[in-house]
Amino acid sequence: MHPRHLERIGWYFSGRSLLGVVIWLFLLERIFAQEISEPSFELDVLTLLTKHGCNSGACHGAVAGRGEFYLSLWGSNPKADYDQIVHAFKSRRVRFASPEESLLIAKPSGRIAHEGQERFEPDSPTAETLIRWIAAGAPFGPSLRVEDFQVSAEPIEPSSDRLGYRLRAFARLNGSKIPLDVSDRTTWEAEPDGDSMGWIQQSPPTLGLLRPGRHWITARFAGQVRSLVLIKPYPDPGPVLAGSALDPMTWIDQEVQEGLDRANLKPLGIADDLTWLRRVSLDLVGRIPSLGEIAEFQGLDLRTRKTQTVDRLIRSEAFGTYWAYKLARWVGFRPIASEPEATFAFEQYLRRSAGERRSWKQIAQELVLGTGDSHREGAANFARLASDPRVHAERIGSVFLGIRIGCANCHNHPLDRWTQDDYHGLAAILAGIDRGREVRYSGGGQVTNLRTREAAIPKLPGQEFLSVQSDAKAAQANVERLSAWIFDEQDPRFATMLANRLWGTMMGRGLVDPVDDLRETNPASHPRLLERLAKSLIEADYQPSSILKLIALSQAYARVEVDTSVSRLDPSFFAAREPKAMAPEVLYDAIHDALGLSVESRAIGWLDPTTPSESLDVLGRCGRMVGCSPELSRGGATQRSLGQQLHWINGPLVNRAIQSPGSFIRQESGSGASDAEILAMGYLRFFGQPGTQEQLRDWGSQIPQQTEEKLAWFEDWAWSMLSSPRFLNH
Amino acid sequence: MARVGGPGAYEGTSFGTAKSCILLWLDGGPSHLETFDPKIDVPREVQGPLGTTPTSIPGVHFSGELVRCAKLADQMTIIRSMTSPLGEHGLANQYALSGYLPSPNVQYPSFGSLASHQRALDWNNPLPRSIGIPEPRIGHGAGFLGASDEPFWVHGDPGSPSFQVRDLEIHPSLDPTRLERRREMLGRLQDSQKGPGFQGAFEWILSPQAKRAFDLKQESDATKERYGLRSFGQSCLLARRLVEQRVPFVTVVQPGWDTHENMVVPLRDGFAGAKVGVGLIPTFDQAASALIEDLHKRELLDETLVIAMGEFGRTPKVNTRGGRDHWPRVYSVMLCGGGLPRGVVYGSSDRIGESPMDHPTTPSDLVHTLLVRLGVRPDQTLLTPEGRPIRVNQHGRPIDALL
Amino acid sequence: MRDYRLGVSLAALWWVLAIDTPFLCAQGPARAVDSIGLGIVTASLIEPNGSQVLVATEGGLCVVSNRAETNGAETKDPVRYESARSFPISRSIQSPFSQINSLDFSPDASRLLIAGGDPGQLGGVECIEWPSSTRLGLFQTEDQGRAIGDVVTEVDWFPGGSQWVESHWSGWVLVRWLDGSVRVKFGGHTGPVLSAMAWDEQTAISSGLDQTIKVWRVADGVQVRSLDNHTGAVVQLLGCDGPNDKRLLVSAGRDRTIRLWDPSIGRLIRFVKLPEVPVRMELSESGGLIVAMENGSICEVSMPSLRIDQTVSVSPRRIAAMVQSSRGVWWFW
Repeated sequence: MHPRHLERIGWYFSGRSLLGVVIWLFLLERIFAQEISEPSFELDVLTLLTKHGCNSGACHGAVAGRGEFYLSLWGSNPKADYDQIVHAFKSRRVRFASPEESLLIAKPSGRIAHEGQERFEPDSPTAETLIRWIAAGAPFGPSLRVEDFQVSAEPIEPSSDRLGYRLRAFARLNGSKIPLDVSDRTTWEAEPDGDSMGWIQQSPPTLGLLRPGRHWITARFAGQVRSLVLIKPYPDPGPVLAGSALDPMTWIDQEVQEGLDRANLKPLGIADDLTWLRRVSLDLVGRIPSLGEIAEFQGLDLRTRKTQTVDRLIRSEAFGTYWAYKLARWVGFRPIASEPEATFAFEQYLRRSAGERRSWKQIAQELVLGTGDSHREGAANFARLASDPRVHAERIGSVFLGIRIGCANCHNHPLDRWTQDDYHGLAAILAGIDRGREVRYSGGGQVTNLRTREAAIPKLPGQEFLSVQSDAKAAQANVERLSAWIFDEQDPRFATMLANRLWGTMMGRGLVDPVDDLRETNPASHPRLLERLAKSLIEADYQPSSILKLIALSQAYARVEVDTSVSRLDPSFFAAREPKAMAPEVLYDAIHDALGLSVESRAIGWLDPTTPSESLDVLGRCGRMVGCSPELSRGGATQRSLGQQLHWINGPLVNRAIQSPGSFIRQESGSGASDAEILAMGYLRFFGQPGTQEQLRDWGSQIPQQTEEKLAWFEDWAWSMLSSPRFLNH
Repeated sequence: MARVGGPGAYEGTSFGTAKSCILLWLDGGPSHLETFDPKIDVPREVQGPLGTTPTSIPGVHFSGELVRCAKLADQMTIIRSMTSPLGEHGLANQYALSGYLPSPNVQYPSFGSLASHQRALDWNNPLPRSIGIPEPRIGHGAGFLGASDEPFWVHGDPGSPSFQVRDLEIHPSLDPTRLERRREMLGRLQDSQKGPGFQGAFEWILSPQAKRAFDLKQESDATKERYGLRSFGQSCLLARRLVEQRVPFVTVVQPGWDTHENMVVPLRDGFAGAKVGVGLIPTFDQAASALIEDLHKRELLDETLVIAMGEFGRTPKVNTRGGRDHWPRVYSVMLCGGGLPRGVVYGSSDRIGESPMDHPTTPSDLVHTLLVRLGVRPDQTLLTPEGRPIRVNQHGRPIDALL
Repeated sequence: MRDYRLGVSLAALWWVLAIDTPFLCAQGPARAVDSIGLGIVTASLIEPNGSQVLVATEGGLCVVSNRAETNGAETKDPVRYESARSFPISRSIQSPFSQINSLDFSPDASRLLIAGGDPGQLGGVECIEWPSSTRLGLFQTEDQGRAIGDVVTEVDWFPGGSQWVESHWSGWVLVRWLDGSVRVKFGGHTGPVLSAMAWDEQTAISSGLDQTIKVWRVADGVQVRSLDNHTGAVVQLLGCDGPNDKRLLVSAGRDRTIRLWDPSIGRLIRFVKLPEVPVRMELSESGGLIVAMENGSICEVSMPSLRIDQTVSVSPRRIAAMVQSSRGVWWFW
């Protein structure tokens, strides 16, 4: 072609000519028009079925289907759904000659009796779209590939007290560079709690918030799911209680403050230092501070004593003991049936790992990859805790990833991205482990993928398929790939899970709550804070003490304790300290410590949760559950069941300790201490604080004169002190 | 806990006719085809091994082993068209007992806890407001209502001669005076703190009458034998005693109904080779009929709602191991007393007991209706500790035939 | 000059409009309805004299002739499978049903039964005189123990020509006399029944979504035995000749198997696993079994060994119906 001709052509396309403009407009129109010219099963029909709940787990999306009509849960398998709708049983569900009589339309629109009630009107846009689709021959149309599914909310009506939002969803379809607005084809869900949250409307997608606080919206489109968090500010920021201003604001506090600002909340004040001391002792080493420790603390420099205390506690032997206990609970340590040697090896492994302050990533990796003679290699016993590959897969998901992958056994996980192939693929990897006394890799282990009904192909969840494990070497290679993926620092899922758990154990509530339910539709209350904590943990080589120290020295940790039933504050903002109960083993030890009794073995040292102890059982000790954290139940110690109350009043736990000859009451009164001295000591021992003059005077006025009666009085007084929230909570 | 939209006058004469409720919880999913909805003239693999027996309602049959209950059928209301989507234990329990599909964000209270919560204001009885016999199961808890509305589980075995409520007896080293003093001291320490603390426990321990309610030795041997001497029978007897003391809600658990294999043994025989059946169904038949007759004799039946239900039914087709698997699509519930209509069969399942044929009733609907009978307004709103308003019953519609 | 530029611009415009953008390039499974003519085919049956075929579609019954066949022309290559969609329609017969599932000529070819219904609404069997197509009777059933009626899935004459058996989606199987009155109702199935055949004058066999094949007596509707090995819905039954003049039963299941049975003793003789889910199977004149599968390919299975001789990819979409012409060619839709 002559250059001048090219020049001319270029001129037409440059937009300077009218023809050029027309050509460009036409091109643009074509690009956008082509998406909707031919009906697409996935984009047009399946999204409607999802919006109307047809493929929910309660209806046709159930594993057993409904009325012999099976759909994949939330449209995760479009090809199978297309087959069921268009082809199955001689196309009984679609009638090409008279589309509105098709079962697909006639039943949900009420023309024919439908157990699932009427889902849409016969003249609704949904019915019209379905009729048009069937009239066009019910094509499958272009296969849908979705990238970059994003959701957002635009405020509308900003001035009224009803906060309104227009919900928007965008996605790039089939390799297109231009995001398409798919809001109308997205299914929007809010927490189902009636009128309190507000209202949500599907077409056009809008949301209204009534209640102040944090709200979660879930958006589904073409097999993908995203969540949206919106905060409605509180109208009244709340009272501010005075507190110490010496604590600096750490980066943790800055992140927490940002959340508070968005919600228009003021944080409550800082608690006094002695309260802090008791709190941090219990959270870091599972013990109340001794009299000596309290005295020492009071003598230290005000500005540095908190840091010094945290350092001392972290270096102490008690820290190693307590965190062996926490480690055991986290991994779900239980005795190996009939094999005390294996149990012993496992227990020793956990104690040593915590005591030697080993990196928790190292420990975790050893538990995932552990092989060998389980009577000698303690870590190998983690695999033995699971009776079969599926249970093992669920444990690995729960312990090391904080996910509940078990939901993806029978269908793709409805609230997250895990598919059936992911679940069975993970189990298939673990099927290559022989769980006898000698834990080792072996080829040939299999699990059946419930979706394909055939042997599951090993797969990393959310990632690629791996090679089939025909022999031990292949099995080992796959497990090593799994380990590499779990502990990958480019996408730090393990570090994030661990950082979240550590936050939860200190603060009473995880940034993701519950701490073993990390998923797309359960986002963190402070995502950036969690990210930074995870990074910090990685930089400290996965030493929990590093994160624990950061939290212990923050303002957020040191706040005054307030019961939410009084304050009505959403605890996910961390505006105040939630009263936290002690774990049963910690409480057991605390009672004995407070009374000055020495015990043969501390309850914290009983890693085995089945160690016989009626008291620990009544107090709600963790039994079977993996990663159980009893102290993370809400409401602290004011929420005791009647059975626990009875045990506390009449049972042996408290009574025997109080009456023990070694208790400080008997010791002190035996060595001639005055009543006032015993009362003062009791306050320090039980509450970690000196009693006020008024308190001591009040009690003192009630003490009877005779010795026998005096002893009984002090026992009753000790009982009441031990039963009060100031002892039980921290 | 604050209430928004408190109890006022509720329309209808059926509101609050039941002052007490005894829930016989058949744990594990009792087969509707082997209890209250057996099928006649169906393929062998549907029929099951237990046969049928006619009841005192003409044209209505129960399973062949429910002979005594069959005679009392004209006092009962049977719902045969219950339906639910949840076929897993735990989840199904929570749905059946709270009327809400389980959610990770909210712990919904069971209807028993709601009834117990309702009575908190005017409760001056030392006994707990909700009692469970003997061991706890998922779903019966109080959820966000908090520990003060949790059922008190007695533990132990009421059928055992040494049965006593754990820790109810005062510690041997103490006496009531000292307990009173402890209580008073604790009260002074707690004055700025909210929450009932140990109030409920103290009252109970210090009330001889309350403790006597649990003493089965006060009953005659004849009465005990009528109920059946083992755990479930004596648990039902204990339930009657508690209801006589005006306890609003008593749950009696009969575990073992999850019969995936060889169902004849657990359901009828009790153990392999038994000559006289001592399995779940004969035991239930004896105890439940004794309970109903006893309540009637003591003129308590009109004010006491008796419910027998589980979390789902079982598959119409017997499986290859001689059992049935989970089947929530249709199942049955038995109700009696509390002012309910007598001799009514509400709803039906289809020919083989696979789907509801008419009047499909969800657990939400049932809970709604039971709450009305128990005097709890379903449209009331309660607040969770974080201030979220939750309706007592959101998705259920009242079953008019039962109100 | 101007014309030249205009021409080039228009050519460029044409080129732009003619190409598909990447969005539309990907093709999913093909459209369900073919271009012109027949629409969706649900059943086919070759007329007893062999030159015409009845094809059941959504619109009704079409009688289709293969001109090449009737003209007796020689075909060039021995084409084994031929799409019959393009055959000219010589006659249309109205049907009261929107879905016709099964056709069967009486043993003396004087009557034709047309079975089907409206899915989810009603089911029935129409009996017409052949070849006049005058209606002799319309036998509909609604409300058979269920709240709504549903289609009849298969119909089969008994050898004596005085009764037939019909299977229903609602779960019942009926035997009717010539006048349409119900002789017996069999209720042994626990789910939709997809296939029924008259085994002999006294026995009928039926199969369905409950994954069983049931052999039962026509006289009283009592089940003789249940053949339970399939692990998926049993979609079709056929009778074939076995060794020693024994008659054997062939079943096709959605568990991707074809199974061979001796119904007189209830024994599974053998089975074969197919690569895909079978849609329809037919016996060929030579005694072999032709099985059409969901992906449009066909397995040729020799009988009674159930050995797969060949798998032929015949059509891009699934084959709904097949008949074998007198010249051995298989016509399919």
